Amino acid sequence: MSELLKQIGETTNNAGARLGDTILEARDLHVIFGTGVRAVDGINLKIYRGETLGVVGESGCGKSTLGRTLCMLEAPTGGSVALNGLPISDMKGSSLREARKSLQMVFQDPYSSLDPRQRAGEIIGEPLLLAGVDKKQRQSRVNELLDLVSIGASGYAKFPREFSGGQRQRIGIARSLAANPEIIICDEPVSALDVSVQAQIVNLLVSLQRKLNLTYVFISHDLAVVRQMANRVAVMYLGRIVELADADKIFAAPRHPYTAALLSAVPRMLTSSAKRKPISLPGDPPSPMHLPPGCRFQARCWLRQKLGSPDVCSAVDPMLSGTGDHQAACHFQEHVDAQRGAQNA
Amino acid sequence: MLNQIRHSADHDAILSVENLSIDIESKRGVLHVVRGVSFHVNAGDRIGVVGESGCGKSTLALAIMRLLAPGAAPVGGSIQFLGTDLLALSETEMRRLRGNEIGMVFQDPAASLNPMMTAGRQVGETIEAHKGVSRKISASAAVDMMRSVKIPEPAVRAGQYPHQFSGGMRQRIVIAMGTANTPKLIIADEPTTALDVTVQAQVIELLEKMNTDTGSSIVFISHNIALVSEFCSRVVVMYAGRIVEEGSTSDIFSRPYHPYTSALIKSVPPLDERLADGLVPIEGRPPNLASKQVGCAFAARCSSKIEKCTQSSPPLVAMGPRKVACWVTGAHS
Repeated sequence: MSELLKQIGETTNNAGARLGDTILEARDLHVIFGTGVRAVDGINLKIYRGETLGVVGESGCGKSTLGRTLCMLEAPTGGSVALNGLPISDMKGSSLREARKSLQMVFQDPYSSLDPRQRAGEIIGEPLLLAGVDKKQRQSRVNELLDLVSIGASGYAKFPREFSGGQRQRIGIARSLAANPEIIICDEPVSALDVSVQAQIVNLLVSLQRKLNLTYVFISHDLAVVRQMANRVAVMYLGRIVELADADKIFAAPRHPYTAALLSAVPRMLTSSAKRKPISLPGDPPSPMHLPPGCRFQARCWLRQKLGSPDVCSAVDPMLSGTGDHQAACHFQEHVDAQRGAQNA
Repeated sequence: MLNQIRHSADHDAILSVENLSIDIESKRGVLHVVRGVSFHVNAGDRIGVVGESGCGKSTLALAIMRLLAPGAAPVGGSIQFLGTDLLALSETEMRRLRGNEIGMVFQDPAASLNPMMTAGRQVGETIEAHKGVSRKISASAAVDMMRSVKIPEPAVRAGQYPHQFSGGMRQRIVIAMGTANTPKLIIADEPTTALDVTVQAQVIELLEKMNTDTGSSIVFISHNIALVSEFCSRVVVMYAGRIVEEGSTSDIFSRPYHPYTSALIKSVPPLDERLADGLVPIEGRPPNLASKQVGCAFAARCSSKIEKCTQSSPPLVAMGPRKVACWVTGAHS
């Protein structure tokens, strides 16, 4: 990579506000499993070069399926995914393999995502082997990658079991970088790690992004980690994005009642100045096989209850709307921030 | 020996762990996972035990329940529950306490439940086994218990099997089982770790209610430091099998004394701001538990260490209302 490119990467990432062109785009994306589960149920999303888009939501909301579909590990049942304007969801065979080099994934579990019988060097170099890179070049690239993730060349011949959880995740990250990708989809990359190690990996991902001008889709259930990583945040509920906004805005003043409830449920350190006002959500999410007409959050919505159960919530399925950098799928989004404070008053 | 322990225990201690050590036999030799741990739980206490993987916190919980896996065994010390040494009880006597006077809630609700038995029957069986009531009475008590943990339509749900419940609902059943006989002590080992945050909030609310309504003491083991800071009244911080600091939650979180406690708190990502300089990790890794520890176990990762730290192990010593094991910031300094 040229020095110039690196510099551009640093300025855009540090500034955060000045994001690049659209690198990845999902249009009306659907993934419906054989059982009728609508894991991804109509998602439109643009990911900009150099940004980190955080994707949050609870188990079963479809965030992992979205991540897998964005890099074509899962084929969509409807809609399309375009990488740099090219529709990868229509590609097959060698052209798809070629396109996928730009799109890599880092997984949650550093224990099960590495082959225990392969040495670290082989694991990291495998994408290069598949790409037909010769042995000598492969070795030098792997050593470069080992340095980049601060494992060092001495890790080359070791097996996964000889590394700690944090080091294994570094190896997973090095493997994802081998083919010089533009985008990395990180699916809960720090969830299995202790908090002291989690901080190391978060810092590593941030510094790699600056060095290599990477774009991240950072999928996590941990909102505090997402707060530290993301420029923008998408909140998912039952297969849909219900809120999409600039990170600072969504954490300061959410516009969807689900986001407000999610934020209020996160435990705060005793020393934190912001005390939380818990909003409790009654019941469980409805089955993703039998969604109600209207808003999919209505049955558990505290705001709807407060407003005297307006008919529109059960009649009209709300789409994302609002200003350009802060959108929510709620008919009463302008009431969320004011009402959440009054929740327990 | 017994007198000594009684003497040193707090006046109204429910649980007194004294100088407890636990070894685990592994393929790579004997691991000393708990190394001389002492602490007390008083009536109504909510004690948080925090520390990273491998610090010994879960082994400690299993030891109190006498549920250590084969190969793991206490090699020293005692565990007194209301004046009875749990380590001296027979398995039959221990079974009488478990689920009755000592309740337990573990991380994985799926593994704690019998998939072949209805939820109501599992809660009812706990009551029947310890209270000697008829099946009919225990069945209706089970429905009441399920109602108290806020399972909707408890009479209907009592007839359903574990797989028909969501993860959060399953954990409520486990809590209903663990607390059905109003135990004096609840051991909760990562009870919300497998749950979503909104469900976690509900489960914590439930444990809080148990604690205030029935006065049950809770030993709450968790890697989630923010959660412990909200829920617990006192905190025990463990590192490499030892307690390095113990005190009230407000003391420990507002002014940690031990460098490890302080580093652990600093490494937690805040929700309310994006840290401009990135997170603050703890570099290095905990020591090998197979080796004898010379000096302080944290010394290799500690930025405040002095020569003495690598030579001898600092004892846990009282400093006002708290206890700290550190040559630099402890009472010795």
